[in-house]
Amino acid sequence: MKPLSSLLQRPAARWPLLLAGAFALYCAVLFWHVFDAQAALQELHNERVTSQARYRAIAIGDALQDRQRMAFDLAQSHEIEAFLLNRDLGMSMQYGLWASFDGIDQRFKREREGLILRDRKLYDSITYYDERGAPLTDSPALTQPPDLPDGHRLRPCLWLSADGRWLMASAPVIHKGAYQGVVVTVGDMRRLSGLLVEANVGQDSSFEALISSDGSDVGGLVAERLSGHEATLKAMATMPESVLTSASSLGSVAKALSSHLVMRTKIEGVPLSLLSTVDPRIVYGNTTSKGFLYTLILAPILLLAAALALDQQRLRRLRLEQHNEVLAQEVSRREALESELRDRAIELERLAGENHANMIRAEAASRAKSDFLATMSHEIRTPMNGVLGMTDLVLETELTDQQRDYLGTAKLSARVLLTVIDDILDFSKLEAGKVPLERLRFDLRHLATEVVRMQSRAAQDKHLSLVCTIGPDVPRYVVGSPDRLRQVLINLLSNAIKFTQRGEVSLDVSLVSILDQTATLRCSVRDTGVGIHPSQHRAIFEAFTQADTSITRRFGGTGLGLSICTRLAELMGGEMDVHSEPGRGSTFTLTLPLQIDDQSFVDPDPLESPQQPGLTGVRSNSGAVYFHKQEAPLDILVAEDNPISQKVIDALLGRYGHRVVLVNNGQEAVDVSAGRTFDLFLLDIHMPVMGGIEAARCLRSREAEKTESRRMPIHALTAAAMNEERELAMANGFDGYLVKPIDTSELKALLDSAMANRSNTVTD
Amino acid sequence: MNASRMFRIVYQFVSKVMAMIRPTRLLGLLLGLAISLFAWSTHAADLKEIQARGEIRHLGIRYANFVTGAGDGFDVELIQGFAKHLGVKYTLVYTDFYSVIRDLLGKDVVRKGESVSLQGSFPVKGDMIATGFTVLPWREAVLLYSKPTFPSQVLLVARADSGLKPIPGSKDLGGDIRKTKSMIGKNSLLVMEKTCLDPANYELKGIGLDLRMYTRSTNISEMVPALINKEAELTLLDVPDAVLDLKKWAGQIKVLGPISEHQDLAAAFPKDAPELRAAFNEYLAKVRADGSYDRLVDKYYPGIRRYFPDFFARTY
Repeated sequence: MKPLSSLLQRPAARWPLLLAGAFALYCAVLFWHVFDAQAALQELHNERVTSQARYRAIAIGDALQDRQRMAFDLAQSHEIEAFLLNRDLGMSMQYGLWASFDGIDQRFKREREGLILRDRKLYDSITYYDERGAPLTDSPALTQPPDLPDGHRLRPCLWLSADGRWLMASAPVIHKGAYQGVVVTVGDMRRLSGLLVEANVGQDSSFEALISSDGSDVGGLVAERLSGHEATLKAMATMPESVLTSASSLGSVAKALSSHLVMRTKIEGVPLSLLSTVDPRIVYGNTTSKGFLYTLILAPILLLAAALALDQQRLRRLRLEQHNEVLAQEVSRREALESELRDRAIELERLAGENHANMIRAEAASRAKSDFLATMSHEIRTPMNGVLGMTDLVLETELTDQQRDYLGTAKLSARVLLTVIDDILDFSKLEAGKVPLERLRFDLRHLATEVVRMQSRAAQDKHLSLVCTIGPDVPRYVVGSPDRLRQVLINLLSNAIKFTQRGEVSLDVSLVSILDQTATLRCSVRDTGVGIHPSQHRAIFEAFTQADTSITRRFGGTGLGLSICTRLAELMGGEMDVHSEPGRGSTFTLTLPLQIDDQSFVDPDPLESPQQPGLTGVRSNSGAVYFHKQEAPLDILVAEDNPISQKVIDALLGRYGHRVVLVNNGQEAVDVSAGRTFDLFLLDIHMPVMGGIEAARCLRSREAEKTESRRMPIHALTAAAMNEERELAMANGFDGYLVKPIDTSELKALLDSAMANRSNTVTD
Repeated sequence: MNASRMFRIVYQFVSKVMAMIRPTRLLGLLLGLAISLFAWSTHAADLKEIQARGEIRHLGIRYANFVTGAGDGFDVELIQGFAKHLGVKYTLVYTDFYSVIRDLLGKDVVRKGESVSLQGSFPVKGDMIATGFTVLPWREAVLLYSKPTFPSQVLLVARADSGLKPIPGSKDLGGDIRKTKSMIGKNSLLVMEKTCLDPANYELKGIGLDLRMYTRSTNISEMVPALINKEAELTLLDVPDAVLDLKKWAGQIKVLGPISEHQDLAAAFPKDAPELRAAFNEYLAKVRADGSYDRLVDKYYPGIRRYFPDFFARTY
C-alpha cells in the first residue's frame, strides 16, 4: 500500500487547479444567491407595477364613477326641484316658471363651466330631458338624444357612446315619487383620458391609455404612437388582466415600444381597460442587469479555464518529457538498427552483385543451352527427315516380307528416337520456364478433330477404334493456347494408342461449368489398355518415370510425356488426373479453364457437324479419314535447300499425284510464283539467299497488291521445331507449320485441306 | 338722516377724538372736517365740477342684485366703470327709496295727484342715482334719466297655498295685465309706495283694493318674506326681484301674472347735470358696444335675457 504522503503528492502538485476550482465553486454559490435575490426583487417590482396599475385603474374607475354621482346630484338639485315645484303650482313659462328654468340652466352652466381640471372641462354637455325626452335646458345638448341604457329611469347609469368618443352618465329625476325626466351628462372621453392618464406619460416613453374591450383607443392618446399597429392594440385588449407581457410578443409595435412591457388592467364599472406600458429599465432600474451578472460569472469561469489550461499545459509538458525520454531510447535503438541495416544492405548489395553476375552467367548458359537445343533439334531432325522419308518410300516399293519387317523396325526406331528428342526438348524448355503461353482465339472442335485425325493413322495401324465425342454444350470458339492444348491431347492420345493392344481409344470433350465467360472443360482420353496400378498413379506424372520398367522395355519411351502434359496443364491453369486399374484401361483427364469467345455458339461447321445421331463431334473408326474425294492434282511450290529433303518431299508429294516445283531458296520461290499460280507453298525456314519467313512476307505483299487474287496457302516445312520460330513464321504470313521429319499423316491432312480450299474457291 | 342728527354724531365723534389725540393736531382735524361738511351740504354737481372735484358719488339702494349691499351689484360695477371712464374717484352712498331723490336734489319730492313738487332743503349726498331705478313719469318730472340700463316689469305674486291660479300667458300683454288685475279682488295686496311697487303707478290705488303698505323697510327684497308671513294675500314684485325670489322661495310662492307693461330702469341725474347724463349715455353706449355691459348682465341677472329678449337685442 502506498503511503499517505505519496497519495497526496499528485493532487498537491495541482494546487492551482484545486484552488481555482474551489474559488469557482464559491462564486457559483454566490451567484446562485445573487440570481435568487434578483429574481425575488424582480418579482417584487412586477408586483409593484401591477399594484400601481391596479390602484390607477381603481382611481380612474372612481373618477369615472364620479360622473355618475354628479349626474345624481344634479338630478336631485334644488334648481330642478324648484322648477318642478313651480311647475306644479301652475306657473307658466312666460310668467314665473322661466326663472326656475333659468335656475336649472345656471346650475348646469356652473357645473359645465366651473368644473375645470388642469384647464380642461369635465363636461361638454349637461341636459335635463323631461319625462317625454324633450331637452329643457339651454345648455349645449347633443344633437340627438342619447340612447339611454335600460334602467335609466330607476338608477344612475354610466356608459360609453357607440363610437367610444363620449362618456355619459345619467340619473333619473324623481319628484314626488314619480319619474320626471333624466339628467344626462356628457364628457369627451378623449379629454377625460387625457386628464386621467396623460399625466403619467414619462420621459422614458412609458404611457398609459384607456382602451375599450375591442381594442379601440378611446382616449386617442396612443393612436399616433401605435399608428399602423392597430392589430397590436387589439391584441393588447385581449391580454390576460394584470400580467406584464413583452410588447414585442404581441406583434409588430413601434420601435420605441419594442422593448417595453405592457399590462392591461380592467376598470370596474365601465367597459374599459387601463393599458400601461412601462420601460423595463425604469421598472428594474435598481436591479443589477443579468448581462452584468453573466459578465461577472465569466470571471471565475475564465479563472478556472486558465487554471485548467495551465494545469493541462503542465501535464502536457510532463508527458512530453516522458515521451522525449522514450523517444530518445527509441532513437538510440533505431540508430543501432540502422547501423545494422546499413551493414546488411552493404552485404545484400554485395550478394545482389554476385547474384546479378550469376544471373548473367546463368542466362548466358541458358541461351547457350537453348541455342544448343535448337541447333541439335534442327540438325537431328534434318537427317531424321531423310531417314523416315526414305524409309516410307522404300516401304511402298516391292519388298520381301523380311525386308518390309526390317524397314518397319528401322522406321519405328527412328520415330522413337524422334519422340525422345522432342520430349527432351519440351521438358528442357519447361524446366527453363521458356515455354511461352499464347492467348489466341481458336476452334476447339476443330482442334479436337484435328488431333484425332493426326492420331488416326497410328490407331489404324494397331486396328484400334479411335472415337472423339464433343458435348453439345461445349463452346466452339475459345481463347487460350491451342498449340499447348493440342500438344497435351496428342501426347495423351499417342500414349493411349501406344499402351492399348485392342479395343478402343476415345477422346471426350465436355463442359463442366461456365462462370463469367470462362468455361471449365474436361478432356478425357480413355483407353482399354493395360491399365496402371493406383499406387503408381502419382509416379507416372513424374519425369523419366513409367508405371513399370517393363513397360519401358515393352513400349519404349522416355517417361517424359505425362510429366510434360502435367506441367503444360498447370501452365494453362488446369490440372491432370488419372483413373486406372490394371487390366481395365486408363482414363486421363485434363480439366482446363478457357475463356469463351463471343462467337462461340454460332452454327457449327457443316463439315464437322455430327454425321450420326447421338454424336456431337467426329467419330472416326479404325483411322478413317474424312475426305475421300478424288480431286485434280495440286500445283505445289516447295522451297528447300537440302537436297535430301528435296528428294523426300518430292517423292512424298509425287506419290499423291501432285505437281511439284522445287526451288532452292525463298528468292527463287518468289520469282517463280510471280508468273504462275500455285495451290500450296511449302517453304523451309532456314535457306540461303532468302529464308522462308522473308519469302512469305514478299508473297503476302504481292498478294495484297492484287486485290482480286485469292489467299495462297503458305506452310512451313522445316526442322526448326522451337516455338519461337513457329510463332515468328505464323506472324509473317504462314498458314501452317510442319516440322521435319515429315509426318506423312500431317502432310496428307495438309494436302486434303489445300484441295478442299481450292474446291471452295472454285465453287465460290 | 337730517342735518342736526348728523351734527350730533359729528360732535360726539369729534369729542371722542379730541379726548384721544394731542391738542397739536386738533387744528388739522378741524380743517378736514370743515372741508367734508362743505362737500356734503352742497348741491349735486355737473360733469365739470365732478371732474374738478375728482370724485363721483353714486346713490344706491340695497335692491336685488343692482346694489347688493356688499359693495357690489350690477349698478355698482356699472358706475364704477363710469367713474373710471371719467377719470374720477368712485364713492358709493347708500340711501333708500324714500330718500334717494332728496339725497340727489337736496329737496324732497311731494306728489299730489298728477302734480309733483320739490320742497325743503336737504344736503345733497350724491351726484347720480343708479340702483334699478324705474323710469316713471312723475320721476321724469324732476330728474334727468339716462338711456335705459335694464328692463323690468311688475308681477302679481301669491303664496303657493293660494287658491288663485296663474294665468297661462299669451302674446297679448294688455289682456294678461287685465286678467291678472282681475284676480286681486278682495285679496289683500302688499305694496311699497315711492318705489316701483307703488300701486299708484299701476292704477291700483283708489279703486277699493285692500292695499297693505309695507313700511318696515324700504328694501323691496322683504316683500316676499312678508307675503309668506301672511301679511297680505298678494304682493307686487318686480321682475329682478322675482328672478331671485322664485329660486329662493321655490314652492312657496307663485307668479299669477303681469301688473304692468315692460318698464325701463335707468340712471337718474339732476336736471342741472345734462353734461353728466350725456357723458353717462356716451359711456353706456360704449360698454354696450364693447360687451362689458353684457358681462355685467350675465353676472348679476343671467336668466333675464330669456324674459326680456327685445330689450337686450336693442342696439344703441
